[in-house]
Amino acid sequence: MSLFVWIAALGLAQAETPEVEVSGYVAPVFKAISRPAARPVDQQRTGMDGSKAGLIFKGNVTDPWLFNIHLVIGTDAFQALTAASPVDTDNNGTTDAIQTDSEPAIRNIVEEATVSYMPVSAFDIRVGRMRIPFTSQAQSANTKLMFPERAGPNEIFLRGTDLGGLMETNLFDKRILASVGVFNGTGTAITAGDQRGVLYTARVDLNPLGSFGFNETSEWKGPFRMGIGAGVIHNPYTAYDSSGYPTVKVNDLRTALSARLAFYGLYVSGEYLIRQQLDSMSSRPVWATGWYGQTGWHLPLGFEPVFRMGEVDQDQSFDPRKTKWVDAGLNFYPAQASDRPDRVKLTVHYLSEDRVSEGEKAQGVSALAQITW
Amino acid sequence: MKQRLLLAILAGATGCRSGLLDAGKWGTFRYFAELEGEVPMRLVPPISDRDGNVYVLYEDNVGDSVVYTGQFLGGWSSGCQAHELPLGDEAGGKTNLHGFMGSSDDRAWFWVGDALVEVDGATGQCTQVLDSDPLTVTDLQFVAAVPWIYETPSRRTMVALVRGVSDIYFGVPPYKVVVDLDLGRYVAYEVFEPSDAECVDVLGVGSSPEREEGVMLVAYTLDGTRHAEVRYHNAKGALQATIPVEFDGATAYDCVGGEARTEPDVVGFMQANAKGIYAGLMSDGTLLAFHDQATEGVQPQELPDYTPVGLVRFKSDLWVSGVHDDRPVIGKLEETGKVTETSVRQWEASEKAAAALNGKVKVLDQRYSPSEPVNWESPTTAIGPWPFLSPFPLDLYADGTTGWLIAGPSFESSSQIRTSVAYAPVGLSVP
Repeated sequence: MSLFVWIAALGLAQAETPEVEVSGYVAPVFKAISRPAARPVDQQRTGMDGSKAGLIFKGNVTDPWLFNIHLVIGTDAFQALTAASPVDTDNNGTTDAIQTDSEPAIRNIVEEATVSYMPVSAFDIRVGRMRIPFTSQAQSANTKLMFPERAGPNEIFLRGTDLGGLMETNLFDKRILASVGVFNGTGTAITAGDQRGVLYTARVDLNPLGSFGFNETSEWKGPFRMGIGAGVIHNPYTAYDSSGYPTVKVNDLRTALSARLAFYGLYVSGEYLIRQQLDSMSSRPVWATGWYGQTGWHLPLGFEPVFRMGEVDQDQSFDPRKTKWVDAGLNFYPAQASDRPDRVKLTVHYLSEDRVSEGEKAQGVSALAQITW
Repeated sequence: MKQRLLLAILAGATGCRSGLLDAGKWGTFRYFAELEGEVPMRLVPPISDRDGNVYVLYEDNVGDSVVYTGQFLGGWSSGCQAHELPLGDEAGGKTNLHGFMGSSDDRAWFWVGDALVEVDGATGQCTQVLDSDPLTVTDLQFVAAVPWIYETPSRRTMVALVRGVSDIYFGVPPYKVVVDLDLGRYVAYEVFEPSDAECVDVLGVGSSPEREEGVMLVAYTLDGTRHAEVRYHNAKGALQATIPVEFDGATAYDCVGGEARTEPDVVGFMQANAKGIYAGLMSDGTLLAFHDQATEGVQPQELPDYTPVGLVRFKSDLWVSGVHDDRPVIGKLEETGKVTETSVRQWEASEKAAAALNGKVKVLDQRYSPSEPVNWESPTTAIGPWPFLSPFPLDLYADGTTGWLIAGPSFESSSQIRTSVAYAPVGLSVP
């Protein structure tokens, strides 16, 4: 008993005042999308879509322990089934249809919830829910993107956040950034079911000319910077049948190659993505490749024209399906003279998605007003 | 196995690709059922969907069809019966199996008897599509279904000819409809032209998905004269072209009174090469080849000196497969629409696949969980005389790979012969 009291007293004696930095953002988005070849109900979609607001708490209670909580409200919504009832339209005792009701629900509001152990500035271990640093864009914060959304190819190869742990290092004043980690693998969009496996990830970024962050919007005052990087995800898992016995062993491998440069207002980046999945039963590999490139140029008075295009070829080994994206727009930073020009960001942009193999196109415009505090 | 996987991982990380089967080489055999009958069985070549589920369509001894679904991650459905009725003119022991229409992400559609049926890849459940007219509640018969699912992110449709179940007794022409497969109803319809045609028969169907067109070979009687023609349709059911076909000895007949039709049927489906030259094997052993630029009537032709059995589309070419001297042969359909004798050669991939079945073959018994490996002694192809020989389109399971069925041990049960059947992917090539 006395030992317990002594330990508790020691803990109180070493307690420090928590340092918590609170920040956040609000980003309403208006979209008008036209999909002429779709069913009439889907041909026109107009309204607020993809709007979000975020709250970020980061700080430390005592060195070397840090925490980061990033909550996003209003994104990642889906229609949740709230009621279902059988319908017998001809009164013959059999179900002819199912009447359902649904309501919009938020899938997950936690963008990041991590605890970090950082004994030295060049090394840390981070555990919790976070984005896997597979691509360079996956390492950009929501508010630091050039466009309102991440590039289509980036989202197809790895979407959302995952639970896991990451060891990170930066060397030579962030000229070399590297990480290795282990995750659950819930963001890889593999077939749902009884599967057990672990996702391994590794990423390295080389910035030979000096520190080069992943902010896509504020590299406008610095000197010439360039960076190359590569990321890999290996997700081996075993699928089990309903009785709990193993059926298939699957190996899902994804690779990303990245290149970026910035030069006094000009920012250019591109990534090439590869996926190969093999399994022990089907003799049908899953192959996919994709790429995107984007550029933005900060002009005087806070204007930034931006352009992006990308392409994904999925299911290349059996029924190739190609999708192309083109985005072009204008960002405007009204507070461009301040120390944080991106506190207020207004975006108008044209977006298009061409499902080449299926012969269906969608295009439209979106407008974003983002305030960061 | 681990070393192979590690090598594959290493190759994948560097952008190299692996995992496909060589020609004639089999993948994992998946034993899924014991089916009534003996080889050759009433089966059509299996197909797969985008998710990797596979579908096997079988007709039992009493003419009912059963579809088995093998899930991508293992396991099979126990078989779903469509409970369709045969078409009115399908008497005389003809099969009710018309074949698979196509597949989508996680489901497939097939046409059996007078029914269009959808089967769910995840559950194995099968349901008839547009079994009755939603407005008049008339029982509908699918007298033709174009084997091509037109798929976009927001809808899946196909073109078909339907008629009311009692229309056959009055010789009423069918309606051309565009079926929305997600809604389970037709979204466009049009009366068959000429509207005063009598005894309308669909002799065969086919498609070329890459050219976004489907074809129907129809015959009808007009003013006492028999006509036959190939009709091209696009995804919206619009008529794109009509090519007259001449069958020797075709005459008008009394379809209501039960007289026999004089034109031969297409066996399986008509298929096309990349240039749009179609071919269909006729039930009298001839080959009907045509293209949409034909200005004169086309006639079925005799084939070189071998017994035609099927068609194979491989890459951009169409080949006519068959048997000669008890060995599989294959001949290329030339741009002229003919198969020349010089182009006919032995089909090594088929022989290699058959040879690989000699001796003890390891099969994964997936009828129950947990699946267990068993050995079959020298199984044989369950469809046709040799692997890959079928008048139905072969599934593009993977690049240079199709799916096929093999038959294992047979046994007698309740005075019926039952045969063990397994599915496997197999590497495919043509000479």
